[in-house]
Amino acid sequence: MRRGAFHDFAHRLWQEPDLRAAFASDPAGVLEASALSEEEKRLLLDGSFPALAELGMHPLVQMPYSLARNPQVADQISFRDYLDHLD
Amino acid sequence: MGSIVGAFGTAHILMKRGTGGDAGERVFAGMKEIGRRARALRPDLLVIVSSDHFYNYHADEAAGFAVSPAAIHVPFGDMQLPRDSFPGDSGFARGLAAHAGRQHVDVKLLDGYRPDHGVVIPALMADKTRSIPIVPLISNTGRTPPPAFAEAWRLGVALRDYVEQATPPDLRVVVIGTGGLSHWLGVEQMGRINPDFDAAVLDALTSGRPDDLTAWDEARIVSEGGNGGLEVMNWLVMAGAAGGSGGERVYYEAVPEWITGMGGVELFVNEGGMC
Repeated sequence: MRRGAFHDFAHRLWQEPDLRAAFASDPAGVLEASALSEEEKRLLLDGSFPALAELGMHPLVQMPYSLARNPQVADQISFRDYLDHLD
Repeated sequence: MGSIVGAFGTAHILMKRGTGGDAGERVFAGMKEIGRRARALRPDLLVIVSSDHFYNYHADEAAGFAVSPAAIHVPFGDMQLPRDSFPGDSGFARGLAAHAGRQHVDVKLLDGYRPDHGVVIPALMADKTRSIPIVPLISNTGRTPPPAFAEAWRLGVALRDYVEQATPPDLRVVVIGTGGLSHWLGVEQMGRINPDFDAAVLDALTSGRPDDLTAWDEARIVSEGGNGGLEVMNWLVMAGAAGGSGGERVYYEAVPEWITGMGGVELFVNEGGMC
């Protein structure tokens, strides 16, 4: 899989919590400030799985990117409620 | 010599509680049962085999398998998991990588690795106190091409060989292969589950027929189990370490809301000898 600048951007979102927080509150602003191409910015801002596939993003990278792009979805993929019920 | 005293396969994800209905609760109960059984074996070390979900890896990561040699593992914190640390075992990890290399299975040392849900959830199920050292053994299911199931099996055999030949006397090791079963991620079929694929995996392993799975190529696995089904290679590492023994199914549920076929097995291991 070609690494690509958009893959690096997706990776940085999870490596850099401050960037992820900024992206959650202002995704268009964070993308605009990046060196990505206009087409890459458009598809990343769209953030749907078809858009990410059109971008050429690795299917498995689409998952963590999607969670960063959609924090409300990430809240549904949470282990927090189980923690007090472990043996 | 040390010994493999337990071998388990289990799903490694749970979504928000309640969203999986009764099936989701049965999966949680099954995962806890796996954890209880692992804990009852009084392990000194948990080898947890998982894929990385691209929280650590870049998209072009070339290593097929890697092991974390960290003395302390600080979780990544995905899925709102706590970042409380787990002890590691640097010597075991480094020795395993070297031993596997001599057996012609490449295992990269993964410095700076931070465990994601694939390692942390099974680890918490087995030991919520985080007192038993863990060694994360990471497969690269996202590589093109992914490691072959047969290679995963050989890594498991090398792991057992290493434990029995090169680890301290009386070291008790439990191996947990995680992930799967059928699921499709980031592709058109996302949401599909294939219970037939899942049953084939569970039946092959619990009846001691791992050859049924090691013969599968990437095209068949992805077609029948999805790109997420490649995580079954983590179970094959575990099965190789168990020596090809049979076992029993602990739980299985196809959970549409969680877009995944989720199962767990225990493979019976004869301590100190090949099965």
